[in-house]
Amino acid sequence: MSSDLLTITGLGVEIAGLPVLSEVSLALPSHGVLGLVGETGSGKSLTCRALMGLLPRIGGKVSDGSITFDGTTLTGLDESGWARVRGRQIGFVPQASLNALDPVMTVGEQLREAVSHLDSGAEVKARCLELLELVRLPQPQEVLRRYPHELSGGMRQRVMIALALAGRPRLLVADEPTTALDVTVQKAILEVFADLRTSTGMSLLLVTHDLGVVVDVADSVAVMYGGTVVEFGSAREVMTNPSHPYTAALLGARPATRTLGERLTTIPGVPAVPGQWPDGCRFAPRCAFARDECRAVQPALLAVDEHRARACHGWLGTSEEAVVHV
Amino acid sequence: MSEVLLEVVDAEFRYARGLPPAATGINLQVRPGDSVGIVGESGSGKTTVGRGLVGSLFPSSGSVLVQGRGWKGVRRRDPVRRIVQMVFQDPYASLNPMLSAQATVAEVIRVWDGAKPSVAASRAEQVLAEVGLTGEVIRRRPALLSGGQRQRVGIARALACEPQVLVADEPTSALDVSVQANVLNLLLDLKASRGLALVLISHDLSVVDYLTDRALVMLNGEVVEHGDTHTLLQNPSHEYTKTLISSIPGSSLANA
Repeated sequence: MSSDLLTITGLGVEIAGLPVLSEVSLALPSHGVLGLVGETGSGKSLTCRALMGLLPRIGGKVSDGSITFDGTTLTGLDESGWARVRGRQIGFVPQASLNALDPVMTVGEQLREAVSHLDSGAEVKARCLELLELVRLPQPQEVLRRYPHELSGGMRQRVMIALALAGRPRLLVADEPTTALDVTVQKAILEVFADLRTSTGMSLLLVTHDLGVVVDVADSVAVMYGGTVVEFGSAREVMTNPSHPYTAALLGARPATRTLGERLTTIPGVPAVPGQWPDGCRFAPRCAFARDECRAVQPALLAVDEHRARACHGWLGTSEEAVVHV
Repeated sequence: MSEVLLEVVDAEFRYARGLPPAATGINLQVRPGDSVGIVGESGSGKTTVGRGLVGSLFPSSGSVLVQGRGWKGVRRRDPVRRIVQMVFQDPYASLNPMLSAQATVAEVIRVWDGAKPSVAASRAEQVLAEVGLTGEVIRRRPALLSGGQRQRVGIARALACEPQVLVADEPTSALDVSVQANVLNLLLDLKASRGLALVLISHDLSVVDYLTDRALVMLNGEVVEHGDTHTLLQNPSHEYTKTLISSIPGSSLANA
């Protein structure tokens, strides 16, 4: 579709010959917010790395499919090609970024470095202040003089987001940006993202393992399991009426959906090990509804209706079966 | 009224003289089978209170009493220490990297009960089975265990002392939602099967709501609200509690 800023089609990634991602497909429209959800090891961060052209650094490569950003194919770019995209077209807030700031440089020094490198036309000092204001840091003048250890976790995360915005990207990729933060701080950071979308018109790809975060900020959601996308569609639709048993199980695992004394839904077994995928549907060994077909043939991501697609051979989820109370 | 296992009376905790107290005006009673939540942000003093409950920090004024005794003067091997045990936030950092799951739990049994190594090993196996770890998994070191398995080892280590009160400090904050569900279910089962009292320290109100009957809400070292957990969440009276509730991710979905 021409209106989509980012399109990933059938992406496959290998590390040392092991297929770690396969058939990853998703789309993100301009000004849209897409949530990428799944458990540890589901391939969320690898998808981000592929999107940032950072696979070679961990010995990985794209083996299949394509990534298209604003009509340009990113897969197959050389390092100098990626350098024009990274930071300038697509900004990145990496996981565990609370410890990613340089401890011996002030916030101001780090921001100035990023701005002068990525945004050559800008008046550096004014732009640094503007960036800190964009992420709603109070007293930006004061923050510029501070070292990372003098800032709280929430403030450091805001600085990391400001750094990612230095090159005026049109898409921001944020990998678990609120995972280590308190709920109140998390909410404030999510509000920053919502504001940025309005003030800069950029798109956001938000990676998280918490479905609650997705429904608060994202328009659409891609649920990953076993290195592939199992469900994709409108956030509200997917969250209130999941069409894939894995999505349903994830929703049932949230304590907010249960009352005192009622057991949470758990998923039996352990997540599939990257590269050692089971035959057929990757979720089949843990799925209560798996049939012979599921264990033999990997289902493709197909449209269920106009709002979403799923990769499942035919779980006819009734809300009762899915035990989702929201 | 059943006996009070653990009682905090008007306690204040300081880390150093001259510094403001990290927590003050704390009052709490824990009876067998109770389930109490302590909620607040980083720096609110909730972990400080947890440390006070298990006796790793003495109150600078007021008192913390275990079955009527203060922690001060309790010797290292005093059996009263078995009554209250702690489960930590980061299961990786709180386990000995050189010991297998079984050896970790067996060590506790050996030290506390003076059991022979072989006896301790087989009792450790039973306790680990109680938290759902069986087979070759129990011979693995922490590095080869998943996050959820590590937290189960942490819980088994606490259970090996046959405690009556479990103080759990953010036991699931480092875990995925789906793994968290497993650990929360386990705590719920243990409460029922062992009649354990639980003190749950967490910034996550949905977890506290799920697991506890009563809760304290802490802000800047003080308790700003306390009461029946469900009522407190349905009908918060303090502004800060309202802020915490509105910060629960997915609340927009719940209200839809």
